[in-house]
This record gives sequence, structure tokens and C-alpha cells, in this order.
Amino acid sequence: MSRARLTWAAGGAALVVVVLGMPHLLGTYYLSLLTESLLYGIVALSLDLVWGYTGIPDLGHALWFGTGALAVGMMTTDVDPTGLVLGVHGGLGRHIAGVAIGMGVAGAVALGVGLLSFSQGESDPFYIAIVTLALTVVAGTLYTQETRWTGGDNGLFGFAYHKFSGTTWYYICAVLLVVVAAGALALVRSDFGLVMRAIRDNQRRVRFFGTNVEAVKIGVFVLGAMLAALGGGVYATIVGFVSAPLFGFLFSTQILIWVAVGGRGTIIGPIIGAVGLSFVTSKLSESYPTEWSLFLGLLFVAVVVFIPDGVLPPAVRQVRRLLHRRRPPGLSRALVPSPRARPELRPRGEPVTVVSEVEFAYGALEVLRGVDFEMRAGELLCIVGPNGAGKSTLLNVLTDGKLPARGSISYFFHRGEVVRKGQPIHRIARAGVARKFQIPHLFDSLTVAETILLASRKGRIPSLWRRTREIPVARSVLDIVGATGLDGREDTPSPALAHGLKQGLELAAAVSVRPELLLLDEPTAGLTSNERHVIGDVFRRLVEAGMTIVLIEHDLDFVARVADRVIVLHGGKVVESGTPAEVSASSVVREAYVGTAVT
Amino acid sequence: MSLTLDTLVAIATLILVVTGLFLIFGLLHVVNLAHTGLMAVGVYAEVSFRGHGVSFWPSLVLAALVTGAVGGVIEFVVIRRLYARPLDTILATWGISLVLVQCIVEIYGSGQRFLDLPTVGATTVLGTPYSNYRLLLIVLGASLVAALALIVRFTTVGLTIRAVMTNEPLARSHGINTVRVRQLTFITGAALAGFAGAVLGPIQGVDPNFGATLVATGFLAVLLSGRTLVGLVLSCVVLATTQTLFSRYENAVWANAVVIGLAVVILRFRPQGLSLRRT
Repeated sequence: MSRARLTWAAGGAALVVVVLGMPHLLGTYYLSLLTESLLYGIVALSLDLVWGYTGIPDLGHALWFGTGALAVGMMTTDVDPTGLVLGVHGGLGRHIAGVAIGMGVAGAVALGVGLLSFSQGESDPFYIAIVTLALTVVAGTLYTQETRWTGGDNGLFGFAYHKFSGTTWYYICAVLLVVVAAGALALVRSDFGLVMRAIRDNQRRVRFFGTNVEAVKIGVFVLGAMLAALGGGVYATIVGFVSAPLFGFLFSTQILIWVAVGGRGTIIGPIIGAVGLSFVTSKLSESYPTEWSLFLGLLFVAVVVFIPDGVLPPAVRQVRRLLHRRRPPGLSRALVPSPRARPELRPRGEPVTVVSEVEFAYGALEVLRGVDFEMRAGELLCIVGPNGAGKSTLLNVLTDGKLPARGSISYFFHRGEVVRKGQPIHRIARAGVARKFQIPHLFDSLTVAETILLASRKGRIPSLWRRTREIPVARSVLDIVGATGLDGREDTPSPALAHGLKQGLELAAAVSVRPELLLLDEPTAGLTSNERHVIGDVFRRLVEAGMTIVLIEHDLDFVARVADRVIVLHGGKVVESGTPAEVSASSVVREAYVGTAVT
Repeated sequence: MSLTLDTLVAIATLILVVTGLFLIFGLLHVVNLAHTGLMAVGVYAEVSFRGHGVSFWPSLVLAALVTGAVGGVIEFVVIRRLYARPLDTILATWGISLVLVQCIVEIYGSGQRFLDLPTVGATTVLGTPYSNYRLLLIVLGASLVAALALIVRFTTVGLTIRAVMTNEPLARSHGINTVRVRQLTFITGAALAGFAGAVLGPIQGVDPNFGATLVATGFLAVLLSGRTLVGLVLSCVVLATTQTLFSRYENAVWANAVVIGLAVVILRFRPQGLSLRRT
């Protein structure tokens, strides 16, 4: 057994002993506090999935907890119209049904909120924050009004399930927390976890890999709501009490504090934060209610401002330093040549994309004024033109059907025709268009291999538990990785890469989507001439294999070497088109590049 | 007639609440969740000043100044460090709101308080007698919007504000001290929050969570505004009118939920909100 495994086993065994031993160490009162804080642990980790991993700031997470609790209360009590509890049904079946219904309702409401709030456009992070905040405020006021259902100001009470002892509940909650936490850890470490983190880091870029960002966000949001409702339902079953504050923004804020202080994006941190802080809170808020809330608020602000990672990650780093251990290599991944055959492509020479009469303006600034051209299968088309000619804007219009452009763009891919208009970015990407940006847009928390893995999924939702170690990629991807010096750095986080390597990674990611049409915005900027040479060869090979490449490039020598055809974009129109030799002889290009005004 | 006046009062109330929020959102791109807490600071400052015998109008001004000063401290200690992390600003301002409210509980206790109306009595408007103070609110809301519009359109300050709003890096390279602009914006926004709190105090009933429900609608109004003043007024009109009508004919508590639902649905289908600017 390796040393690391031994440490893990020892740590695990110690944890089991502590968890099992608690009932013998603590009195009834403290044990019940601890049991509650284990449930808060579930709520905190559910928020961590939503906010810490996927970057959705849910300020009203208590709403889901309250929904779970209220469902159990409503299932087990009889209430008269003024909200007085008349009788209680005791059976465990009703409690369990209540928990299930609560999870279902919370999931359904979260689905509705998600469908309305996560829109295809550039969604504002403020938006979901304010919607969830508003919901929790409204839920608090509605609760006190709808007395027939909720018991009003007094809440519902007396419906606890009494047949289990405090110790039994403690063990049930401990097992529940361990199971949920293990599931959550498996999820965030899986290939799907990469998608969650990528959306948090840079959601716009993920769309260009074909990922339906909204669907993933809604899925995680619903999962988070259901887990929180599970915690709330079990909580209500144990304490037999539900009232408006369980829905309210103060409790929501507490959940946020647990996650922020414990360390968002770590699963374990929020659990420790929730168990520790709620345990201390219930103790101190008896003697110093106001002061303690004040302290928690200050702690929250201080953590957000000064240690946004929370307490756990820096603490773990310090401990490792003391033990003279370096950061452990996470999962080591490798790129391997794919056994899959080449994707089927259109026969060489047939049109792949037809662009006609495309006009686009930013407000009053007309950037594209009637652009017409075709791209044919197996062709490397270069777009040249001075700065401000509309080259990058043209790529934006090509890849995002939601941009309000006039004219028409149609793609003729192997699997059929796609008309651009109205198609969101990820649909166009999935149809077979990949794009590399002029300035690298990568993911702060993903390594080189993870970025390529994400891209090579082509938007399909990856496994929720499996962790791919060997990523099958096309030969050309390995060529690019080799040529740009990325080999041997598969496990390097992308922010640690030098600029040239980032460019290489952008390119490798775009190619590993296996597109039919590859749009490259200045792919060789920042590369050495030797690297350019190799990359040029890779492009030629891709084109020989039938892929269509569109290249925006300023280096006319490079263009002359790799391009089949060149079009010149100037003043928002195609002013010249032909072979590299023809175009570089044209007066328009010379004037545009030398800088004399075109009359 | 009284329904029309009630609607106007609701619109004016919402406008008073959101103006400071709008200013900060427009220039700083920050939804200042501390707005709730700042309004509470304003109203409690007024409680103190009026308690010491200061009359209504001076105490309004003083309350705005106190809140502005608190805003200055918040900007200096927290907001300034977070401009590059918009998501964290949401959380930090939310935490600040909690801190402000707890400080108020610590000093004043959590009980309800009441502020005297500065003018009692009613005026007859087109045959309907209506509370003077509420009429005053309508006037205040209207003049606030008018003043803001005039400042933005015709003064150098307005020009600077518009420059920073449209393109901050460019404004900076033209010699505008954008750090100072941000600081002053936050202070002004906070002062406006305090002013709104102090004005609304006498008719809302004062407790430390003062304004929490008002502001939930306010945040949505600001998102709906699409960062234009016309959009802001329009969204306040739409939301406040819906709220008043629904409360009158259906149920006052559900009105809040309906307004929020309405805002969410509008934003779903018009992400640019109610701004009339072409995109």
C-alpha cells in the first residue's frame, strides 16, 4: 500500500471512530445540535454544487430547505383555516412521503426558475442572484399569510417522528451526509465536474465547444434545490417544526456564510463550515444573539474580500507545507491517438457555407455591409484585411445565430443543412463549426488535457461519475500539441501557460472538436517561425483530409504558403477574391496594407 | 381618483428607492445589495435627529449625509477591492447589509418605531381628499427624476457620468479620474438610499429590516431599466402599477410575488429590459 493510501485509510478510520463515538461523548442536547448541523452540511454542499462549482449565486437557497420542511409539515398535520394545528399523523410513511414530495416540489420550482432565468444571451450573474433573493423574501411574507397551509406566524409544529432515539437520528443523518457527500465528490471529480467548472470559469467559451450551458446550469440548480429540500425534510421530521424563518433571507445568508467560510468549490469545506459554524452559532446565539450575527456578517464580508477561497484551501496548503509535501498531482491524464475513423465530410469542392448579403452593425456603426462569399469543402480560405475591416465580427456573426444580422448564412454539412439565423452558439458548434479566438479564452481551473477533453466531447453531456484518464484525440491534435510544446504539460493548469502555449491549446481544443468547418482567428500570433511552419503543415494535412478551414491572418507570407484561396475584406465588403498570388498583386490589398486611403 | 393617486404614490416610492441603486448599477456595474441596510441607516439616523429635536427637512438632509458617509467607508474598505470580481460584490454587499442591520439592532433594539408625519391633514385633489405627505412623496419622486435627467443631460458632471457609463477605459484615457468617479458615485448612491429611507420612514413603520420587501422589487426594477433613465422610470411605472392594482383587486401579499414574476418573465423575453435604446 502506498503512503498516500495509508494516510487516506488512517484518516478515514479516525473519522469513522470520531463519528461513531460522538453519541458517547456528547449529552442529548449537544447530540441533537450536532444532528441538525449534519443536515446543514447537506444544505451547504448542495449550495456548493450550485454556487461553488457552477458559479450560480443562489442567494435564496433557504427556499429549497424550507420547501422540504414545509412539505413534511403539511403531510403530517391537520390545520384549521386560522393556522392552528389540530392534529398530527404519526406514521413514518407520511414523513417519508413528505420528504419525497418536498424534493419534487423544490425541483419543479427550481426548474421553472431556471428555465426563466438562465437565458441563451449573455446572462448576467446578478440576475439569478436577485431573482433567488426576491423569491426568498416573497416566500417569507407569503408564509405568514397562507395560514391554512403553513400555520402562519406560529408555523406548523408537533409532528416530529418520535419512535427513533436521538442517537438513531444522529447515525441516520451521519450516513445520509456521508452518502450525499460521496455522491457530490464523485460528481465534481467526474468528467461532468469539468463542465461545471468550465461554465463557472468562462461560460461563453464553453458554448463554442457545443455545450448547452443553460441545460447544465438548470440541471445543477435543480439538483441543488432537491438536495437542500432533502435536508429540510429530514430536519422537519426530526424537530417537528417548520416556520417562516426557515425560508427567509437570514437563513439563506447563513448557508452562504457556511460555504464561503468553509471554502467554496471544495465540497468538504462547506460541510466543515456548516457543521462547525452552526454548532457554535446555536451555542453563542443564546447568550449573544446580536453580537454573534454581527460577527458572522463581518466574517462573511472579510472572507469574500480577503480570502475568497475560504478557510479550508489555504489551511490545507499550510499543512502540506509543514509536512514538506508538494501539491499532489491531481488525476493524471494523457492524450492518446483516437482509434475512431475520420469524421465523414462533404465531398471536396462542394459548398460548405454560403454567406450572402450579410450586414451587421454595432448601434450606428456599420461593420459588415453586404458580405458575399462561399467556402468549399477541403479548402483553406484566408480572410485578410486591415484592422477594423470586420474580420472578427464576421466570425462572430458566423458562429452566433442570435446576433441580429441581415442577410443569410447557410451551412451544408454532412448531416444536413443548417441555417444560421436564430441558432444559439452551441447548436452551430454542434452542427460542425469550431472556433479559435484571437485572444486565448481558457478556463482558470482546467488543465491542458482537461480543456481538450471538454472540447472533444463536442457538447455531449459527459459521464456523471467516470473520470477519463486517456483522452482519445485525432492525430492532428497530437501534432499541434507536439508542435507548440504542449506535450508533457497535459496536467498543467491553463493559467500557468505562457502566451504561445495558450495559443497552441486554443488551437488544439478547436481541432479536437473534429469540426467540418474550422474558424481560426490569428492562430499563429505569438508563435515562433518554426512553430508556424509546423502548424502550417498541420493545417494543410487537415485540409487534405477534407476539413474546411477559414483563417484570419495578417502574415501574408504565411497566407501565401498555406492558403488555397484568399478573400480581402475591406470596409465591410469583400473587395477581392482569388489565389494568394492574384490577391497579393491587387492594388486594393497593397493600398490597404501600405495604408494609403482607398478612394 | 384615489386609485390613481395610490398608483402614483407607489411609483414615486419605488423611484425614490431605486434611484441610488440605479446610479451605482449604471456606473459601477454593481447591484448594491447593501441598499437595504443603507436605507435602514437613513431612517434610523432620522429617528435620532428627530429625537434630538431637529425638524423634518434638516433631519432628511442630515440622514442623507450620514448614510453617504457610511457609504464612503464601505466603498473604501470593501467595494474598491472587488471591481474585478462582480460575483463577489453581490456577496460582499449582501454581507454588509446584514452587518448594518445588526449594528442597528445593537444600537436601537429590534422593536418597531414610529416617526411623526411632518404634515398632517389632507388636500382635496379633483374631489378626492388625499394625505398631504403622500402627495409630497409624488412631488419628491417626480423632482428626483427630473433633477437626475437634467444633471445627466446638461452638466459637466452628467457628461463625465455618461462617458464613464459608456466606455470606462476610454474615459480614463481622457483624463477622467475613474476611481474618484466610482467613489463619488457610491457615496451619492448611498446618500440617496439614506434619503429614501428617511422620506419613507414616516409612512412605512420603522424596524431594522426596513425596506427589505421594497428593495426586492427595486433590484428587479434596476435590472429591467437596461441602464437607461427612461427605462428606469418605465419599469418603476410598470411594476408599481401592477403591484397597486393587484393589491387593490386581489391580495396585497401575493402582489409582491406577482410583481417579481412579471419582472422575471419580461427579462426572459426582453433581456435588454424596458430600455428604448436600440440594440
